[in-house]
Amino acid sequence: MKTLFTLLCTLVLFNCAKNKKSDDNSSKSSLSTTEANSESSAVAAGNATNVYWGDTHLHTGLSMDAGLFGNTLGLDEAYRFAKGEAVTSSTGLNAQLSRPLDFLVVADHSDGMGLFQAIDAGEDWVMETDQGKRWNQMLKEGKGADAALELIKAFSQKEMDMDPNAPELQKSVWSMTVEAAEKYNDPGNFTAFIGYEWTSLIAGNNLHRVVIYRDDKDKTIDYIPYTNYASSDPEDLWENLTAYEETTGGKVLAIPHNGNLSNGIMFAETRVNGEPFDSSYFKERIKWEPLYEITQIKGDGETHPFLSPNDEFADFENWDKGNLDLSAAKTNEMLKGEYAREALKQGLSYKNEFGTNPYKFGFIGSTDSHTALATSDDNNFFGKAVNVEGGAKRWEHPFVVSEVDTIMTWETIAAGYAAVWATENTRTALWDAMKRKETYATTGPRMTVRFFGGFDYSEGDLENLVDSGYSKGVPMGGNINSSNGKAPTFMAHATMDPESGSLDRIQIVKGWANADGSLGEQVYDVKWSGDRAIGENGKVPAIENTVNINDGSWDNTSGSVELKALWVDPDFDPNLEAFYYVRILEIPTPRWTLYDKLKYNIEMGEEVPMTIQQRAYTSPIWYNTERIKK
Amino acid sequence: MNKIIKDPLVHFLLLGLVLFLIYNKVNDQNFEQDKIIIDSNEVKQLVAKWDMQWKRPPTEEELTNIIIQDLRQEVFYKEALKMNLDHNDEIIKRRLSQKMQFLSNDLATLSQPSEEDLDKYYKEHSPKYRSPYIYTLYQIVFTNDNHKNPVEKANTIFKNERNLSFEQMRSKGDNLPIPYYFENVTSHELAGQIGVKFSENLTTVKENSWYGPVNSGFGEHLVYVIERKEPTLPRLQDVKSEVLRDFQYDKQIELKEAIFQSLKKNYDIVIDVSDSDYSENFKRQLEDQINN
Repeated sequence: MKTLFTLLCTLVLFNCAKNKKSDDNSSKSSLSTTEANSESSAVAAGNATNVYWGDTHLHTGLSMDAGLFGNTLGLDEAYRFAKGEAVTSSTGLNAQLSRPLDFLVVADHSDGMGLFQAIDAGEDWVMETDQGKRWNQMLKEGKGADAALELIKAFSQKEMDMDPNAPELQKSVWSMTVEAAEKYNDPGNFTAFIGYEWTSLIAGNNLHRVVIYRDDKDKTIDYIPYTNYASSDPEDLWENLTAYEETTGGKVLAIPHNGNLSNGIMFAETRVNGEPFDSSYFKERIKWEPLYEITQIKGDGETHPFLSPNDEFADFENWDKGNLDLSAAKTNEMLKGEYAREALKQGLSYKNEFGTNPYKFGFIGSTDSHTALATSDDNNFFGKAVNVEGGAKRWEHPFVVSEVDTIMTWETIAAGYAAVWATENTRTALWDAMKRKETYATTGPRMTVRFFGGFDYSEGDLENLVDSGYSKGVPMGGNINSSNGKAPTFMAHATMDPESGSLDRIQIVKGWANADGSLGEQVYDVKWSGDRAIGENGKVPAIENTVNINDGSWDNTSGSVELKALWVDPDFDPNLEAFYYVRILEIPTPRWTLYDKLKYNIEMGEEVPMTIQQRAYTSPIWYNTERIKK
Repeated sequence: MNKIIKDPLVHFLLLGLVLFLIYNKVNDQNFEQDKIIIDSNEVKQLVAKWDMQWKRPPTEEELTNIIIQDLRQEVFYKEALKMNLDHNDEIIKRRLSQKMQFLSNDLATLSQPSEEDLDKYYKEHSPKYRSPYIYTLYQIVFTNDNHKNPVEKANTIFKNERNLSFEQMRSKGDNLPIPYYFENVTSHELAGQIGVKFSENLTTVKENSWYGPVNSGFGEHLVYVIERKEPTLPRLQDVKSEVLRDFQYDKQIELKEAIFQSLKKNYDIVIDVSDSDYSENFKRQLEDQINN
């Protein structure tokens, strides 16, 4: 045994030495240096000065389905990886992010054991037994491994003095999750949120929500996650969240995802229980769900060509074959209950009818990866689950198969991340920014995007964008109210990710509700790279695809490093409720499938896309008419 | 007597008796197994679970519901066990093996190392805890957006303007939303804002003069490094919680492996794969790995 330990220690040491380079990433930096980064002149007190990157939706081996796929990595590995350290994936691959993330939400839940804690703490019911006393003593003497072996032996021989199924032993994995978040949370440098996924599935239709707490261990540890087993109706989840806030004084929010796999029920026309909508339902929904996960590995959820026939970029990595398990095929009628842009529009018409907009949500992207590895970079993508972490054949592995249809692994996308504008990297600051929707989603790249709306911006304000943006108007996620019929003005600013493709264009997407109850949408090109002239159809032509399929290189000079625009709505009607959000498009760059093709020197079918135009979606800014409701 | 033994009717009766006895026996067992007792202990547990989620006791109606829900699960669970549905079920296997591993995880977090242990561990792993490079610098950048040849532009500015004041130099570069002046910024933060390549290129740049062009994803930079702090090893007490966390993590991996190796000894592991499918070499390597 001893030799074994020595051997293991040596191995561990060896690995640490090998990982030296990566480990630098975990080193500390003080909060003050972070603040010093931003030019003080460009910073107004209290305004969000930094953009923080994270994944709000990661599963580890503790998730039942992740475990089934063979994920052997746990909470420690998930946090270590997100913080920039190198870890070995479940299939033995070396995995490391080129740049660490700033925050992470691990979203698992299930049951565990807490036997040793009880023995170590010398709880009465343990110390009543000879074995309990003996193992307690061994732990104190540092002979933990021997105690573990004795205990396992006693279990297997049914020689336990204590009841191995005593409720005292059934420590929830929740406490492991909370403890791990506490351990890796490092205010100012890295935020580990406490959270879980509520996995509601009604007849195979996805209604999942990720629940994120603003609070620390003291409030959350005794409040075990709500389960689909208890109820698969979101209204019951909200009731549970209400109870949490009322009893603990804490704060919590929920983020739905993958409406594209809900077969029309994510944004359905009735409540889950079949009852008609009413304003109290709407108030609850928007109270608890200020954000929507618009893009992730299982498809992009902004919009669909059927819903947005005039948007030439609507056909983007949609998953529209059926529901989550492909037990029922998709029909066109379902689509309007599945996509974010359409829901934003419906929200306006609900507001006209009921006085409350239930879908006044902002956007984040996340991975939903089940590998414990939050990878969203196409050149460093570890897939949805452990069985497709890597390898020459992963692209052609069927991801979901049913009698209805098949979704292949090449259809998964290396997406996405959540960008949050906040003053500092702490649970409270990031959570508050999520709550006020000062967030945006990307399909992976870390472009910097600002978006402000108001009535008093002028060209000159672009030079002092952040100060003017906040002082004369509102940032993404905010509201502007009717101003004597004046058309609102918007400032949008995007800077490319220096590790990714340059920028093709800034677009502003507008949606509105007409007086007759019909809904409208329009995508405006507001700034673009190069000297492309607007075509006869009123659109800026597509940018050249410079990706060299033979070596994966591309030419960033075809796009812009930075795009900045002041835009006044040319079609403004002061009497109509409306929203505006920014969509940023990068120039085409290699998709993960091309990186695989080159890495493994393989051929893929014609149907497999080799390039992708990465994008960002900001949270909308809403224009409110302030009309008197009947 | 002989006649009686040969009588089919007697055979039939005997057989019937045997069957009756067996049936009785089996049925007896079934009767025992099929009992599901909902006692106050069980109900208390359900109430406690509810309380954890809701922070209040269930109403009688809610309690009835969760008892019936629990009963439903119990019935299916018991039936599934009878049908041996748990055998060779991949999910159950993984789940149970995971539960065994929780034991070693728990154990690892309990092992509080002594000061000496921690100090020793810290010394052995010191490269990991070194601080990153820390810079105070000015930078300007020339991008493709504004220049046909950013390298040439950077070189020209460097050649002709490098003696300007910091205030004057500021306006020579493009107006990107990245700071002109960075104070005490880590190499990681620089990598986050300007890219990994740029950050890595700064480790050898001479201090106290303009230098460049340095390439990044944005374009070509001129950089004036005022101060570069080399990586240093912090005092243990300043990074103690991090070191303790890593110590326990390593310990957990060790324990998991040690327990596995020890338990493995309880089993006689026979490798029985056909020669035609796998090479001798593969089998030997596999055996080595397993018996290691």
